Order: sequence, then structure tokens, then C-alpha cells
Amino acid sequence: MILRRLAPAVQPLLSVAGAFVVAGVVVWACGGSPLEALSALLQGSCGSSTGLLRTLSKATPLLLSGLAVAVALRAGLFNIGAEGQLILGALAAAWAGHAFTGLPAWVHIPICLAAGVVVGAVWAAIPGALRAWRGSHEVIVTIMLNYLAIQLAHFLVNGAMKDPVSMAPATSMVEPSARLWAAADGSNFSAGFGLALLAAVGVAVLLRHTALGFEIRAVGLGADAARVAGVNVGRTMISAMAISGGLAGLAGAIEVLGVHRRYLDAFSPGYGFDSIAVALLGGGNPVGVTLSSLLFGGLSAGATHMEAWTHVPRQIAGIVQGVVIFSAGARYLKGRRR
Amino acid sequence: MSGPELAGFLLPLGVSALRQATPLVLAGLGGICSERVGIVNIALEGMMLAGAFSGLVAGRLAGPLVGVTVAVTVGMLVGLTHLWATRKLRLNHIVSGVAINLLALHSTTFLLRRLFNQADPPVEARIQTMLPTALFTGLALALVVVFHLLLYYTPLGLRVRAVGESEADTRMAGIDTARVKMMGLAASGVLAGLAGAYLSLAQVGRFSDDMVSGRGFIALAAVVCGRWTPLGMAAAALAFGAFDALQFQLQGSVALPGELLRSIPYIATVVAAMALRPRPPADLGRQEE
Amino acid sequence: MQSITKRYPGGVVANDAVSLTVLPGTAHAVVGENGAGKSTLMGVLYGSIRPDSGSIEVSGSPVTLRRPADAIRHGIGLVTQHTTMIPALTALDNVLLGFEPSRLGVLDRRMGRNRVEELSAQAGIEVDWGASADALSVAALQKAEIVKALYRGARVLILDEPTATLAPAEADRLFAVVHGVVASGASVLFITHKLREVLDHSDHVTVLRGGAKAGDRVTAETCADELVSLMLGSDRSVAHSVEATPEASRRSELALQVSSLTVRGRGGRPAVHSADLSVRAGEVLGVAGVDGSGQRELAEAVVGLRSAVSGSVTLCGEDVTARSVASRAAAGLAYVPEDRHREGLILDFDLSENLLLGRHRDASAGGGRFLQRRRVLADAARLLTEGGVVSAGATAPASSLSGGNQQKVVVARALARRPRALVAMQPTRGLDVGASAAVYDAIRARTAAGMGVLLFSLDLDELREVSDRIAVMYNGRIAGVLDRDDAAMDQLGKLMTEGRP
Repeated sequence: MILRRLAPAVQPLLSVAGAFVVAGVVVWACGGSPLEALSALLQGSCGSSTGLLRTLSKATPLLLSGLAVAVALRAGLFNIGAEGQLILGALAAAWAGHAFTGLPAWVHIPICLAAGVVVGAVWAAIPGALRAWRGSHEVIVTIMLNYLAIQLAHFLVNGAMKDPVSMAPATSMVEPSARLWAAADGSNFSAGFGLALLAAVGVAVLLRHTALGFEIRAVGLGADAARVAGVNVGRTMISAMAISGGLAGLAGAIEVLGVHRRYLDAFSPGYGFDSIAVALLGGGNPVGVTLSSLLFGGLSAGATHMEAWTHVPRQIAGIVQGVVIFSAGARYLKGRRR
Repeated sequence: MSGPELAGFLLPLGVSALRQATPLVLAGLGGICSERVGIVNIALEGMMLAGAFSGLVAGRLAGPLVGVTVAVTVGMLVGLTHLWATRKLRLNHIVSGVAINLLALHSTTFLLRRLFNQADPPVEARIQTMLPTALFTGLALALVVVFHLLLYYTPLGLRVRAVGESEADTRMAGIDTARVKMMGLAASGVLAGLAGAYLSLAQVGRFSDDMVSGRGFIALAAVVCGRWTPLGMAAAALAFGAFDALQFQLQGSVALPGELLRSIPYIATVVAAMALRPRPPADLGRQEE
Repeated sequence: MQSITKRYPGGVVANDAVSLTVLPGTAHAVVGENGAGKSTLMGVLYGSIRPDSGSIEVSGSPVTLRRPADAIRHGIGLVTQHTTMIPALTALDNVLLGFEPSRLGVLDRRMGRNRVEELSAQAGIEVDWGASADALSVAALQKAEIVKALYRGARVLILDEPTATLAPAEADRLFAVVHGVVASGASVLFITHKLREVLDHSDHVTVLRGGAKAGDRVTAETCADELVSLMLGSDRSVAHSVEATPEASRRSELALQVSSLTVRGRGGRPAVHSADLSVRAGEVLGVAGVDGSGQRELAEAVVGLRSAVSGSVTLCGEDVTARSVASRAAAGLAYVPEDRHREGLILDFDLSENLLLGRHRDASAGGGRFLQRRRVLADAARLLTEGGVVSAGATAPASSLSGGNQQKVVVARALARRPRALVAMQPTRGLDVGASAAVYDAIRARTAAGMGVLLFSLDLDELREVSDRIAVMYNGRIAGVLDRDDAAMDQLGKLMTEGRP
């Protein structure tokens, strides 16, 4: 019984192990010591309380955007656009964070988070609607919307939304009432991690225990059968994309309110793309996504430390991710039929 | 604006447009080669990056022509990897494309630091002797015509189109579809690798992190806007190149924000996907049972 | 050309040690019921299915067929039941594909076209070769397929159920082509389950039953009765149990009414013209017709999957034309779709989820905004028991069930809401006798309680067995409606193929 419950975790673990082996070989081939690198990596990600908190802080946006990709995936859609939704969500939260003044924190923070969620949801609903109504492929549209979001944000923080007193392409700082609690040890850990965990629980409930979640899964596994049974497939796709974009927007909002305290141009190191690896490794389910976001968060937190101590470039973490997608993707989502 | 002034504005604009469009046209042809045999190719970006990097490294060691050869070979290997992942590992085409893009991005940045051992940032590798861009531009335009003829007027082209529409039916017609797909993906990688080599060996003469910066996706956008035909794709790519050039020329001089001009390919693609109802090859993205 | 021998002592369940010999210059028929292994046999002959054992000889020498290309090289051509013509290419390109004439590497379409036209003239075929394949009719595609096989130098032409989707006049023209091909010295092997075609158009006949060969006959020396007993086996009685709906349960009120309904099909072409039908409560109205006469479009328009251009659908006196699938279902309209794997079930869902699908907003089934898992499972367990589904329980995946049990699940779900009207598309297709009986028993139990049924089927025997009245569709129109007792075979056939009695 226990073995059967653990069975779904075996293959992801194997693919992670395989990816580490590949990365070790790369490090070795480049004249580094894989063991030293690994130990520095572990030291940096979970060797100290600051390291652990840094891992959790890095995992926060990965968890939320990973959930975003996972929800779309369960509806049979590829949301490659989490990055753009995250960027615009962050921008919206930053705007709400300094545009409203004199609000108590318990009002101001939810307003900012909601702004991020709504903007992310709307941005993601566009490809959802184009897919549902016009049959346009959501992958192409979300890719394009990513670049549009980047250009739009770039335009706004260098112009209309730019902080007048700062040289940097960034918005003004958000009001103190809009800031999430954060640890003072430089780990960037904030209350946002708790919100991300709540979101994971929410997505689990949505998929497993609600009619909408049932429809999302039905559309993902058998769109024709769902349609024949009376499910409005187009509306379900749009809902799934909107929820997906909302989660990505929340990720951006939390980065702003918890870490940067303002919108900084090009602040995302590609969370929206890493989230695809997170979602695939997590098998599209919330528990798996949580675990894989912790893994990738630790990898990212530890890699910086590793680079400083062993001169192995931190990009090795990205190579691990790529290999994980190859091996974990193999068991999940085999091809799409239209 | 007077006549000579206008010419003085337009001529460099045209030249610059061609320079910007060249990698898009090359990679776009690569996209057509892959998608016409039924394999979704969002990995163009990664193939270009791999080509740009390997071309530069080899070019520094053995001269730019060897660099181009290596870039093309590496591109081909990446293309065949995409085919292997989708056919043998049975990976979803998008998943494989994402993985290739991530791997290409991170391995090139990793290797750049390892091989050139530079401070971080700025990290870039330079090459002294560059190839003339006109060489690549001429080749790209010629290849558009060649691929148009190939696709519509040769037995191989007929087979390629058939495989993209229905692999199962094409196999029933007695064709070795696996071979056709292999040729398509090999060609796709070669062309994308060539586009990458153009960037690092001819256009800028150096390699820096993520230097393809989305051109692979714009090339894919040109494929979609051009409805998977070489001529249509080339027209879209030239238009995108022209907007890019215009944005450089107007920088600072006009109130028009550069971001808007830079956004035109993306907006055009979303509008094309919405309004034109582009009809992709019917078997695109299908996984064999 | 010498004699061609093909032998398959096979371990395959679909084909058990089947051997047959086709002589040059003859038409050889292979007959058998659904599931007798005819199509598998043809797949083996064409190299698209590999046999576990057995051998094939062409002109006396053994050959190995690993892929269709091998079969083509040995002069075997296959015309499948469904076209393999690629819609986006022209008919000519489809024929040339794989064997393209070229000059200096350039595709020489003129040379190809000359050859193709020469071949089609010989066989008495006319096709618009320049048109793209999706613009051609089913009959034209089939003829183009024959030319395609001949163009590849086929000496043995295999036709798999060639007339299944053709009107009789078209079928006659097709057999004229077959005779032309045979006269030219090639052989034709055709698969069918229509005895008339065997007797009229073949020289030899092989009968398959349950994957094994039941007998070989020279057509001229056999008769329909002998073939039927070979097909069915001597131990099985031919007579079906005929059970009419008791007159008492048939009521006067209308369960479902379709009034001058016009529907567009694929590519915007009108598929149903001004159809009128009415199903009384407690009645089974069968709909017969050649495949592709608009049945699918009509059924989909009735249940709301396809919008009607004009006309109305009325459920128990209530106009539902403008309503969605879900809202029609809630009002008491159920649907059993044609393709149970794609449209009926979600194979990766478990049985409880499949039974919930469509009722997942329904509190009585454990649905609602939040699902009540316990209730869903209890409801599923009850439906599985009532429906006689053999399964490992409500949490077993649908893919683990046999075809018959899967169909029982689809029917159980359709009937779970006690619908007032049911639209069923070929509900017993591909099922064995026991499963078919179970499906009809479940439907009958509800008709006895007043449900009206609109039953679409291609099988006239089945329709005559279970329907109270039979409507016949011809070319998108309702050509006529006959009472079950008046519906003689030849009358139905005439309506189906000519559109008038």
C-alpha cells in the first residue's frame, strides 16, 4: 500500500538523480570537482538557516508560477506565457502599492495582490479566448504575449510609471502598508511563501473537489467527450487560463511586495520559463509542484553559493533543469491530439 | 523631406532591414522544414543559440568558415535531438522545445564562463575576422526561392507536405516517413545553426549571454504569419526586420516609443493567429500512437 | 503471372491460421460478420499489420511484407474503407505520392497526369485530378484510390468494404470498374459482408468466422443460404428474438419533435435539409440510411452539439432549439454518441468520474460547485450494478474495461437522469451479441417507462428488430417513415438509395 502510494514519485526522483549525474559529468569535464560543487550547493541551499530561508524565498515564485502552468496543463493547454503574466502582475501590484496611500495593511496588501491576480488573469485569458473561439494555438500566442508584456513593462517603467527621483528603470517604492513581512537576514524570505502554500492547497481543492476543476480535468483528458457530455469546453479553457494567469500574476505581485518593494525592469530571471520545468517534474499536481519548486528553489539558492566558492558557474542549475524536463516530460503529456 | 534626404534615410534603412531580417529568414526556413514534416519547433531559439556559440568558438580556433561549418553541424545535431525526443522518448513537442531552449541557454552561458574565464558581467567572447553579412543575406534570399521550388515542384517536397498533413496516410502510400522527418529536422537545425552563425560571426562578431534574444521566436512568428510557406514567411520576416531597423533609425528622433516598433512582430502574430486563421499542417504536433 | 498463394497459420486472435489463394484474373470475395477478422487479414496482406506466423507468396515466390512499401513493390494495392487521400493535396499529387515521375529532379506532373488519365480511361474511371482531395465525393475518392493502386502497378487489388459508404448506383459503377480491372488480367480481392455483392461480382469466395476460415467456395457453385450458414456457423440459430415495444406503453404525447430542421455539415455544406421527425413517448424511432446521409449532423443538432440553420427541436412540448447541450440534458434529453472512446468516455478517468461527467453540477449525483466524493462513489457503484457492468469497481479506469462494458457505462450514464428522450448513434457497433442485448435491455427498460428513442443505425436488421417505426435518410432528407411491420427490406433499400419508395 505504502509502496503503491510512493510509486508516482519514483520516476521524478530518478529523473532528478539523472540530471544531477549529467551536471556532475559536465562539471568534471570542465575541470571542476563535482563533489565539491555538490557540497557547496547543499551548503548554500540548506546548510544554514539563512540558506534554507533563501531556498524557500526562491521557491515562492517558482511554486506559484509552477501551479499556474500546472492548472493550464490539466486543461490540456500549454501556458508558455507565465513569464509575461508574472511581469504584468508585478507591475500592477507595484502600481497599487504606491498609488493608494493611507490604507491599513490588511486592506492595502489584499488590494495589491488582487491587482496582480486580475491583470495576470486577463493577460492569460486572451490566449485562452483565442484558442476557444478562433482555434489559435495558445503556445504561439502566449510566447508573443510574453514579449509584448516585456516591451509594455519596459515602456511603462521608463516613462509613465517611472520613479521620478530614481535613475533606475523602476517604479516608486510601494507604501509601507503594502509590504509583506520579510526576514531581515538578507534571505529575501517573506510571508509570500505562506501565501504560495495556501495557493497550492487552493489549487488542490479546485482540481479535486470542485465542479470547475472536474471540468478542467475532463477537458484536458478528453475534450470531445466533455463537449458531448455538455461541458462548455471553450469557457472551461478560458477559465483555466485565467486561473493560471492569476497564479502567475500573484507570483509577480508577491515578488514586488515581499522582495523588491517596487517594480524593477527585468527583475524576473525567467521564473515563468523555469515554472514549466517545475510543473512537468511535479506531474501537474499541486503536491508534486510544491516539492519540485522546493528542489529548484534550493538549486537556485545553492548555485550562487557554489559559484562563489568553487567557481563553477551557477548556470549549471539551468542545465539540471533542462535535463529534468527531458526525462520528466517523457512520462507526462504524451503528444497532443487535436 | 527632399528627394536626396529621403534616399539618405531609406537606403540605410533598407540595408539595415535586410541585416535584421537575414537571421529571421534563415531560422524561419528552418521552422518551415520542421513544421512541414509535423514537428512543432519552438526550439529554433535554442538551435540558433547553440549555432551562434559553437560557431564563434570554432571560428576563433580555426577561422570563420570552419566556424560556420561547426555551427551548422551543431544546429543539425540539436535538430535531430528534437526529433529523437519527440519520436523515441515520445515527448510532447512543446516540452522538448522548452527543454532544448533551456539547455541551450544555460549550457552556452555556462561554457562561456568556463571557456573564456571572464569576469561576470560583462561576459562576452569576441572574434577578430568577421564574415560579410551580405554573404548570408544573399544566401538567405536565394534559399527562400530554392525552398519554395523544392516544396512545390519536386518529389521530395510533395513527400514533405504529405508527411506534415498525415503521416499515417503517407506511410500507407509506401513512403519511409521516418526518413522524411529526419531530413526535415536535420535541415531545420542546419538553417537555424546558420542563422546563429550569422549573428555571432557576421553581424556582431562576438557572443554574449542569450544573444539570440528571442529572434528564434520571431522567426517562428514569421512562419505562422507566412502560413508555413517560404515566400510568405520571407515577406513577414522582411517586414519584421524593417520594423526593427526603423526602430533603430528613429531612436530618439521621433516621439514614437521604440517598444511599440519592437512589439510589431508580436502584435502582428497575435492578430494573424486571430484573424487569418492560418491553417497549419494537419498533422503538426501529433504524436504517433 | 502465376497463381498467388497466401497462407497464415497465425497465432493472432483476429486471424487463426487463415489461408487463401487468389488466382490471377479473378475477383475473389472475402465475407464474414463484423469482427470475423477480415480487416486484419487485409492489413497483413498490405504490410501494415505484421502476422505472428504464416507466409505470403506472390506469383509463387515467398515474400516478406514489413511495411506498405513492400506490398506495393510486390504488386499489391489496397483501397481502405476510409480514404487515405490527404485532403490538402490534389487528387493527382495523392496518386503520384511516393512514385513521382521526375525530370532532372523536378516533379513532372504532366507526365504523371498522362499516365494517370490513361489508366483511369482503361478502368472506366473519371475523376477531376486537379481538384484537392477534400473537394471530392466519397465515391470519387474511392475511384481515385483504385487508380492510385493501379498506378503503382498493382496486380492484386484489395478493396476493404468498398461499398459501405456508397449509394447502390455508385456501388454498381464501382463493380463495373472492378470487372474492368479483372478483365485486364489483374486480381481483385474484396471484403464485404453483403452477400448480394459476393454472388453478383466474385468468382471465388472465402468465408471467415471468428478469425478462422469457415470455407472456400467457387461462387457459381454456392448459394446465399450456404454462405449464411458458413458465416454464422451451424450451431447458431439465425432467427433473432423479435420483441416489439408493447403497444400499451406507447403513448400519444410526443417525447421529441424535430421540425423542418436544416443543419450545415463539414465545410459549411448543408448536411440536413428541412428534416421532420416526431418520436412519441415510449416509442423507438429508428433512422436508417447509407453512411454519411446526414445522420451524424442530425443527431448532433438534436442534442445541441451543432447549431441548426433553421427549424426547431422540441422536447416534450418545450422548444429547446436555442439551448445548450447541458441545458437540453437537464431538460431530459440524453445522448449516446457514436464513438465511445473519443466522445463517450474519458479513458484516463475512472468509472465514477466518467459516470459523473455531465451530471457534475447535479447535487443528486454528488455534483455541485463542490463535489461530494462519497456520494459520487455510491452513485457510481449503484449505476454499475444496475447496468450490469463487469469492472474492478468505481475507481477502476475506464480504459481497463472491455468494449461491451465501456458501452454499458456510456448507456448507464445517459439513462441515469431518467431522460424523457434518448438519441443513440449506433449504440451496439462492434459489440458482441450479449453486450448488444444488454444495451438494448437497458434502453427498453426506460422506454417502457415512457422514454422516446431516436435510434440511428446502419444495420437494417437491428433497426427492424428494435424500432417501432423506421425513418430513412437519403442525402440529408427524411425520405420516408415506415411502420415496422410495413418496412420490408427492399422497400427500405430503395428509400435509402434512391430517396423514394
